Amino acid sequence: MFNFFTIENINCFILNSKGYYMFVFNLDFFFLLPEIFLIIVLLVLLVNLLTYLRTNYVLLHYFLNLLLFTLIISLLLLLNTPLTNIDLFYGSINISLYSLVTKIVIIILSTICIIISYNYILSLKDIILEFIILYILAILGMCFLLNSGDFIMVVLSIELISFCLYTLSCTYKKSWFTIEAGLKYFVLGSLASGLLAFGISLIYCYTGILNLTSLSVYLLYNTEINLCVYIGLFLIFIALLFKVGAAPFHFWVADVYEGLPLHLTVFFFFVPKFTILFFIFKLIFFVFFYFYVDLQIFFFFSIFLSLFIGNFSAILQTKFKRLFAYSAIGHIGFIFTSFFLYSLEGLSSFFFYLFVYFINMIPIFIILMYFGEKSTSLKRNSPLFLRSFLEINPILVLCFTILLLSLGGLPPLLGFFSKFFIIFSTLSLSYYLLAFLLILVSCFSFYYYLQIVAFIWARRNNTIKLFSQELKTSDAFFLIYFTVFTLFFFFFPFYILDFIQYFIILLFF
Amino acid sequence: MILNIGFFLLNIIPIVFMGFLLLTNPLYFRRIKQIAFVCSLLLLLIYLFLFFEVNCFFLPFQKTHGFNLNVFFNINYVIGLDIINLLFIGLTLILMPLCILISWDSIYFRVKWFFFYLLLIEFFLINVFLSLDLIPFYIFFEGLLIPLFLLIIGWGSRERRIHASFMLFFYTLIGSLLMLIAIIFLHSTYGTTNLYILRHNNLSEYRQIFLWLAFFFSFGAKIPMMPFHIWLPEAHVEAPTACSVLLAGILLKLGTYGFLRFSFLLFPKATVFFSTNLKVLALMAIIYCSFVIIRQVDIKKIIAYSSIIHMNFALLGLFTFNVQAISGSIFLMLSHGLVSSGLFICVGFIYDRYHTRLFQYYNGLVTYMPLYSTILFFFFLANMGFPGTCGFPGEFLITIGVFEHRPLTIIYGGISLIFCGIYSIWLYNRIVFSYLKPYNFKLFADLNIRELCVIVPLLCLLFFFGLDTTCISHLYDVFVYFILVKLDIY
Repeated sequence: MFNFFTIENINCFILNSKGYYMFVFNLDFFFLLPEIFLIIVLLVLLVNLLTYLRTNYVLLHYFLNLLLFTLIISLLLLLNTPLTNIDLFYGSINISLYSLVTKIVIIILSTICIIISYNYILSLKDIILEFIILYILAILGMCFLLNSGDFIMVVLSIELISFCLYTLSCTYKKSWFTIEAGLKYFVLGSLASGLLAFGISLIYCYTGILNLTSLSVYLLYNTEINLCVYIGLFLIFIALLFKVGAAPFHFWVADVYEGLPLHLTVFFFFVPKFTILFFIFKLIFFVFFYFYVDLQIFFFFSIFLSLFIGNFSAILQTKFKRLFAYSAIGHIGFIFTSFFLYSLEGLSSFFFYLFVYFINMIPIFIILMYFGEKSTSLKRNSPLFLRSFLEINPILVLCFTILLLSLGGLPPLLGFFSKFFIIFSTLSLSYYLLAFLLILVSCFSFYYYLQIVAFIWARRNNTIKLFSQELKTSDAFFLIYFTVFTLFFFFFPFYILDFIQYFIILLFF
Repeated sequence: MILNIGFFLLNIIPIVFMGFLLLTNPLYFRRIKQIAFVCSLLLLLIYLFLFFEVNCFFLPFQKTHGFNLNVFFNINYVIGLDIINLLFIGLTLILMPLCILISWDSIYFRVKWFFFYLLLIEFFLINVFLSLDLIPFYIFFEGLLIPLFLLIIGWGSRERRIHASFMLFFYTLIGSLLMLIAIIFLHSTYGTTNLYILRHNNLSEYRQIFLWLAFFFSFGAKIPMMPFHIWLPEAHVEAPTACSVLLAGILLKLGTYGFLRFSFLLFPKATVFFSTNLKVLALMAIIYCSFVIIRQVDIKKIIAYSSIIHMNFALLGLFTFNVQAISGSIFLMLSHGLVSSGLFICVGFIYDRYHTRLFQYYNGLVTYMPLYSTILFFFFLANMGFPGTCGFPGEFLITIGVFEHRPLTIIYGGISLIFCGIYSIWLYNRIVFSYLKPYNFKLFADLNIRELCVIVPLLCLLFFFGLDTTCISHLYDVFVYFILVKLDIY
């Protein structure tokens, strides 16, 4: 599908219809069709929302369908974009294989997140319709961030994403936790954005370059690099680590995830985080590869803290959302480990780890949404909830068990292989201490996942029937499909890993 | 051809029957039990066909079969059959129908999941013994923890079971994670984890020592060796009967099987290097547990400690590097699989009736359970290593082998033989003889047909292997010579 339109075909098309000397940006707009489509839908939605009453909840269904439809159309447009490496708009936007694939991944992720939270959103009574516009704006910002070839573009798109997320985190006004989450996220997030802008301006001050490609060439061939460039570099990465939620800058994560309603928690959990991770990948491997030793030290600090703080704090948590937020910090530690190795095995295990994390966490969120609104404050060891679920819906509980064990990393489940490949790549570069650390930490992570499993399966004398609502078909589809994939991954050749390795070889050779 | 089909069937039948189990209505208890029982019987039947196909004098694996899972990391799934894993698979497949039969009435809630997990354990065990590649071996070895953990958590008897299952999980997990590091190290130096390629390795002694230690922690926690043995009595006491039969019968043998198959073959120099240390650890465990066992009040705990003693005795033989000692220790592993599971089954029978495991409550069972008392007597005799039962040849061979090697060692090791007689007779006396207690009158019945179906096959095997002692040992003689050649003893 990628090669459906080659670059030669497009040139011919332009020559035949309008002649060769048309606008300079004529070609450029063609590459940005998905983003342009998103903008058009955004404008239409804005006009629509102005004309309708805000409290008309019948429309919610309609708007959610529209959102899904928009995302799918933009996905199709993305798949039809020609596969080239090209600079657009005087280098402020750069389209390449990497940006195309990551954009496709992000749009698929956000589509799945919205599909699984569809019924949950419908069940929420007081929700404002504008959140759909904010969703689209945030996804647009992410697309531009992954396209960006310029620091100006980076700052603008990160700000676009952040403003949408700040606003989204305040939309559900019912709970005090939400208000706290929104305020905290806004104050700390804007601090990080300030750091990002300051770092970029430092680099611009001492090199005079904003373009990413030119900067990489400059850093490669310039022997004397000013200290301030280093400082700017680290400020940029601090800001990005903050946005991801890695350890020294993780303080907002648990509070924000706890405060949000679940459909937003899912969105925050995957889409912005994965985007920023892809962007960090781009920065390290396509721009700042000259500094890889310094970045290794910097990242090692972050890895160490993330692994320990994430996993040790998760042991003490009593609420599900906080538990998964802290375990997410631990997982970020694993993800950064695969970055920091700078090897082919490490990179393939990086993408594989992201894939596995998504496959395992999405069904867990489906189950939390099935528990309902109470799951915001659901106690992990609440005897009322978990202990009586085995009689109500045993298949669901079995899925939950499998997914938790897989997240911990128990073979032969899928989660084991993601951790296995990371440890494999650490050891093949003979970082013995790091491998030992990873294994030690994964032992601790077993403890809190196993506690949940133990509470579910432990026998009890009196069971209370809470509620027995049915799982919706789409949710059940994702739940069963992902769980079966988790369970039976080992028994077939690892096609998805082959695909990832092929992609990485294409990217670097 | 038959081996090919046998491999396929051994792997596919548990999966198909697990699918059947998932699809049945959880309230049809009888049908669920029937499905699980038919599955285990079918596997036993296939095994009998396989058994006569294997040529035990042909040393390399009779049949290997494998496919590549990932080219880039070079991960393969390779399975193969030789005489040693054939014997252990046989033990698994014989014990599994009995496990299903003993939980026929005693499991009355969440029946579907219980039998589902039993079949899952059977599937994992078959694959653990079959796998020739280190990575699939590790995966199934650690994957066994999932059903085991859930069985103890879900169907255990007291609140203490949560603590016990966590202990079981983490003792095994931490050891096997160290083994994972060693496996990955081997993979990154040689590019493969296939056992038949790796056994020609040229690791220096220094490296072999570290890798051997990493493997040791995993296998030593399984056996269990002296510093890591705490989990075993706890887990046995809390587990349901079927689970403790599986634990004592097969899962403990995974440790010694691992030493025999992996540590001996891959790191021969380190094995010889550590043999003295290991023997000392085994002797420590034997003596310590012999003294601990006298003060116990829980019958299951006594049998659990006795199985620690027997496994450490087998280990003592395994690291003596004699023909007699090694073949005796393989015999002891197999016979202990029968005897200790028989004892646990016997304890399960009276636990089902009176719901206590403390032996002070049982007195004078002989007056109204004569059949049970007789059968229990034979199992205790076998536990002592009485001639004519299957406990004897193994212990006798180990004693001879160790005596030839180091006469002083067997004086310490012989403590286990003496104490074993003491606590067996003492426990049997307390349970079966003396005055009747009024507590026992509430419910009394001798063994019924189902229970006899469970225990009589084990009893027959017990006498068969005790009287015809060469019927198994001549199968693996060549293998033992091969091991000794590998270790440069001869």
